[in-house]
Amino acid sequence: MTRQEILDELKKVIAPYTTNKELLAGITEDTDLIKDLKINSANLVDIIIDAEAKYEIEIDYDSADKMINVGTCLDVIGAKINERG
Amino acid sequence: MISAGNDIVSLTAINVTRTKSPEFYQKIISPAEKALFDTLDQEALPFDRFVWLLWSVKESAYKYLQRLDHGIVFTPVKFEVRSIAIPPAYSYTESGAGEISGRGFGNFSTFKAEVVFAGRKLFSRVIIYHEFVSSVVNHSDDFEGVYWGIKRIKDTSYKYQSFAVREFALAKLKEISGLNNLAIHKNDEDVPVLLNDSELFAAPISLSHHEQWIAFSCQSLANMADN
Repeated sequence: MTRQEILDELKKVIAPYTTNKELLAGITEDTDLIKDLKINSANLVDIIIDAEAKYEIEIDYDSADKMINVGTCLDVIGAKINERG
Repeated sequence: MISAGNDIVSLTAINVTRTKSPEFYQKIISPAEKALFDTLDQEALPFDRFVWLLWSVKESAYKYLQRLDHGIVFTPVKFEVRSIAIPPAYSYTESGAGEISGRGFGNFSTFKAEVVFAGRKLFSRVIIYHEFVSSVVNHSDDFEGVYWGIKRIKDTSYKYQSFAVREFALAKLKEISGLNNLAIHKNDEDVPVLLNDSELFAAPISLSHHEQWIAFSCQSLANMADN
């Protein structure tokens, strides 16, 4: 998957957990999941689980720690997809 | 240094089936904490509520410690809950009027949990009703210097939640302190701080909201009330 393809799918993963649909449509790599998209911290595990299912990957604790903004989410997901092969 | 940390989770907003699935709860609780659950009275604390109690205590502890060390990252399994005390003859009730508050928890039936992160132990008090689980942490097991409040709101938009929790906290703190020029701002580290006449006030405050619930806790108000 290209970075753009991962991003397109990531938007679908995040969508149920943010009410800021306008910002979601125009997210950039710097968009922060909590501060910008106003995602409640209680939903962060949901996003990790949904991303694991969507990309058929496993995201360990240390990798999940890095998923703070859209760019770092793409980094982690891209790396896990490559590991999966 | 004294800090503040609280959290609230709306139990009507969480997915109970997903909470009970290992792929989900293993992101929040460690094998040692699962073993702790196996020793508890599971009628008094069903597994889904146990998971969210732990989440809430860990989130509160993270907020408490992150104010002191901005570099801390919130990895739930790395915040270790080592003990839980279930209040005797506990039965889950509705929240009633939808607003409760207090100084300490002497008048409330609370769960007590101890949580450790990086060798630092914190204590907590947790209130669980049918609709929510809400926790407050402290550096000691004495919560008499802690003011807190929980309130139900109707508008669940982020903007209103953020406004309402500040309005609620300030109304309570002004009433307690008699200080009418209190305000809540976020500092450069994105942490809420209490101001009096635009000057930083030495009473750490923590805010939380989830769906239809808002909550706050504030430390050192005994000093504040003496002013």
